[in-house]
Amino acid sequence: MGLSSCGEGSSNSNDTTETESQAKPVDPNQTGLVKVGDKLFNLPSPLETAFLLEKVDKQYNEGLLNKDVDATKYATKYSQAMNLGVYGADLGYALIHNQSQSAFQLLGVCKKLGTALGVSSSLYVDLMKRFEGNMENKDSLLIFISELNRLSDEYLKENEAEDVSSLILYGGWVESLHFTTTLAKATGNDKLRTRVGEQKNGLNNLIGLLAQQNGTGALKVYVDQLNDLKNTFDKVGYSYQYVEPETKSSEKLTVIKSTSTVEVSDEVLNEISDKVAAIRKSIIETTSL
Amino acid sequence: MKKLLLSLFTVMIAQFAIAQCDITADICQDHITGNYLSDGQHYRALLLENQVAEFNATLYGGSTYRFAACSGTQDGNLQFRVYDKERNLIFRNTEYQNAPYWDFKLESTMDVIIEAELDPIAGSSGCAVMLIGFLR
Repeated sequence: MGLSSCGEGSSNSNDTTETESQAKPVDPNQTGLVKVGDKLFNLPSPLETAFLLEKVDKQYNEGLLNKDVDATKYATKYSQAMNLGVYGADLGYALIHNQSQSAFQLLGVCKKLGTALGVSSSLYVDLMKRFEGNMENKDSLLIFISELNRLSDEYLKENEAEDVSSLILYGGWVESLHFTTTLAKATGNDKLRTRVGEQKNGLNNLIGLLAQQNGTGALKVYVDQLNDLKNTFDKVGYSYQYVEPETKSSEKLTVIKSTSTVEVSDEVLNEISDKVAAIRKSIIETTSL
Repeated sequence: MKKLLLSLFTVMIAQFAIAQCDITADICQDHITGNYLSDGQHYRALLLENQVAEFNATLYGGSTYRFAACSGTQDGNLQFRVYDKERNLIFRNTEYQNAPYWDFKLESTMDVIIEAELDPIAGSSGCAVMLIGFLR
């Protein structure tokens, strides 16, 4: 096995705090390992973004959400998938802001869209029962929701519906970015502006994810929209400085100390916001793609 | 004929590995516990010996993440490494007895590449599952 050619040492499980010296970049072509054809792309969870929004702006802005809470508008697989992503992000936002009644209503819409896409209705029925019994327990509900998302994703991937899984992520990412850009402009908060700029790589991951599923060209319209958005994100300033990490083995923790900065001008923020609004509009208003 | 048999064998291995993915994911999920919330995504790859799966992720500054990496039905079957985008090595679990999960605390937002491969001692093929959780 080619692992040895990575220069990996023997096991070391001592429990002391240590700093590892690993500054020399590793050439992946020297590892002797075969790459699996497809890369796997992670997108930040809409829940994670919703936590940041709640920290910055405690106020619940219902106007940020898709005001049409209606699953029946979406009749095709792709429109259902994208809007499941949108409603899922709305659900997270409502839940984190303690709007359990709205969250329950949104969960009902997600159930309709999810089951239309083939996700077992029992997953949702079980969750809704637990939801009703824990309406005031936000922590439990967040765990239920994140688990539901993971199980749905698992189900879709196992059933070779990775295009559907990708479009759910696409809808969720766009909705989260819609929240962030809108609030960044409204509040002038630097953390939110930075979070918008930090989506630069998330966007690249999303394009990579959809492009992988675009063998038949069915997702081209979405890839093209995102590539247009990428043209604007290319104007976001970004710098990165590697700093040696610190690993604390007793805590099973590595502190990553590398630093990065992003710079987003008002002009670029407005351009991103406009393009995201247009993409979101095409998602929530298109019912037949 | 040899090619046909080899292809059939490969398909059989793949089908077996897919069936294993469910079980592996359930075991792996047990590591995303406590205050960690799943990012809602399920990353998996069918691996043969000498193959490596590559995951691309963005991790936010000020956040703490847990990576759980599993294959088969017991911990320690999957080896994983975390690099930054410049391919500086951040972490490798082989230095910690193939630890099935590890936490990463970020001072700044950064993009990472995670590579995962089967421990050759554990088997020559299998379903690799990677789960990511974030600390509330």
